[in-house]
Amino acid sequence: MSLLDVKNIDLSYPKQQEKALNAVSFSLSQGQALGVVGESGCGKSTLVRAILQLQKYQAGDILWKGKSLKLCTVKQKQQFYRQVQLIFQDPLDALNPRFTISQILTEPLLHLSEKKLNHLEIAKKIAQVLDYVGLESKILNRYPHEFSGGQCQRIGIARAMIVEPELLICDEPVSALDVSVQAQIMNVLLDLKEHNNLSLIFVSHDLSVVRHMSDHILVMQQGSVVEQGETSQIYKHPKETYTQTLLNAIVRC
Amino acid sequence: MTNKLLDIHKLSVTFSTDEGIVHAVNHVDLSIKAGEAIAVVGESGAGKSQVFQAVMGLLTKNAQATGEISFRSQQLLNQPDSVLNQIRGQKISMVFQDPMTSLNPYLTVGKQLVEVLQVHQKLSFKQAKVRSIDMLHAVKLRNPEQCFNQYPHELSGGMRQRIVIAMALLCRPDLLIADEPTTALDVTVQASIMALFKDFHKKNNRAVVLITHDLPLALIFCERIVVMYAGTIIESGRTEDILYRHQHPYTQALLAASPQNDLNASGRLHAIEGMPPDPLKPTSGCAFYARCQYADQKCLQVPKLITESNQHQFACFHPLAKGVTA
Repeated sequence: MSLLDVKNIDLSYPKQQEKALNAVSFSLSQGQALGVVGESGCGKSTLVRAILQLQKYQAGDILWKGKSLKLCTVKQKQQFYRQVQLIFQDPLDALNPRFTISQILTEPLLHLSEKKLNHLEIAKKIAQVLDYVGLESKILNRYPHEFSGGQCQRIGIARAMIVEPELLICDEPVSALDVSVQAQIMNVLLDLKEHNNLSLIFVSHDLSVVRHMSDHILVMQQGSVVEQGETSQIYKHPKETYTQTLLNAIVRC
Repeated sequence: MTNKLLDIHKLSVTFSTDEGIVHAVNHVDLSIKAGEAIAVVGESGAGKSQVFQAVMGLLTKNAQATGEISFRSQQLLNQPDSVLNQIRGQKISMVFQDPMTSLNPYLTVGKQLVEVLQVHQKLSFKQAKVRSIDMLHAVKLRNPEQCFNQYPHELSGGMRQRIVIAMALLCRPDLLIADEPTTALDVTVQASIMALFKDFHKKNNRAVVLITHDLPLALIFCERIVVMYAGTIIESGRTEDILYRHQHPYTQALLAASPQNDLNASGRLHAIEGMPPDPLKPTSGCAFYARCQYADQKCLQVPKLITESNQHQFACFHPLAKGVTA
């Protein structure tokens, strides 16, 4: 059974003629990774917002484990938010500057856990996620501004992983980072996917980044899916000229 | 007099902060010839931007710069604004990473462009407008007349960057410094922006400095590459030397880390583990020591820049074998 089904989503923003999403469909199974590529303004982030029910769509349906998210009760929705977590583009922007790392990592547990956790259990979970992302426990009493971009992104991933999600949506998680740090963060995500049977949706404008992270790729242009298929297929034998354009834009040495 | 356009000699930049003194740039020697396209490559915090902030006299107030910077044998370092303003924007201009923050949100694009010419070349508004619109054509904006009257927020990131570039080129500078000009942009837009720089460099034979963390991008665009790490130059040379005959392990690691490469045997990218050293605590030996797979006792001393043939320089006790590829 597939984990997430997106069926013919149409979405337009008020006062705009063109649709932001036009009949977008795909499905994602457990443990799989889907890459979403396209230029800015093609609707990648709108798609993420629609999946997370942060943006109303006019037509179509989104199913989580076979159930429509439109018909969810509040409680079911809360459960959905525990199972689906998001990682953002700008790692520093996404962390509360007034919270210590310890507070940042505890908050999702307080709000999204099914049962109340005691201090010991919380500490254990924090230790586990820090280990996932390769950070030491001595950072817990420090604030986000004390860390570099790569470290902040690790903290963002730790925060997402602490509620043990089944799907991790990464919206341009490495485009604000240096090449060398990019590789570190992508390796962290690859490890997590392998060891935790995690599903991933990986959004980026850079096909070379996406191809390492995903089994399938969705190429979007102006709100529509123009090509979709297995990563190697798309990378080696793109059918659409637009995919070819994206491939040609990659700088190779 | 040689054809050196910009000559940086033993430049060091330190910042005094609450936590102590940050050593951002240490004894950097660099010269740029007229008409040359060079890239300065390194991770964030390597000091690559600070070198050129010092050139432009844009360092923050808590910074201290020592050494020498001369532009056509005129001293630039620690000069008053009145001296610098005759060079900045006129002879040397700079393009920054984020095109939104380098444009004034309250003024139309046209007003900001015209101002450059009114100040530097004392043109009338009419003349300046004609030149500005010509320049907007030259940077291949689709609708220059319309753009001229628009505000920055009405334009996309790629368009804004084109406007910033147009602004930088208005006075036909001898040297254009582009600090991460495409990092905030999509890959497809990146290609077209780089094409603009190439055009400017080739057609007018002007010097361009590209500051970037993306080594592959530098390789296709520039003739000479300078690799910086933790405030020092660790390798520099012609592009083909850096690509095919790089000697420093850091350069090799930087090339390998690029996502354009395939995964390694265990299905992972070739990441450089660890972090650059803390600039608050200057290291006694080679700055790359902690992250280098070849490091040994010798590396506890600071390696000097060794010059090989063809201006290829590197600072390492364990240079890689000749003929290595990434």
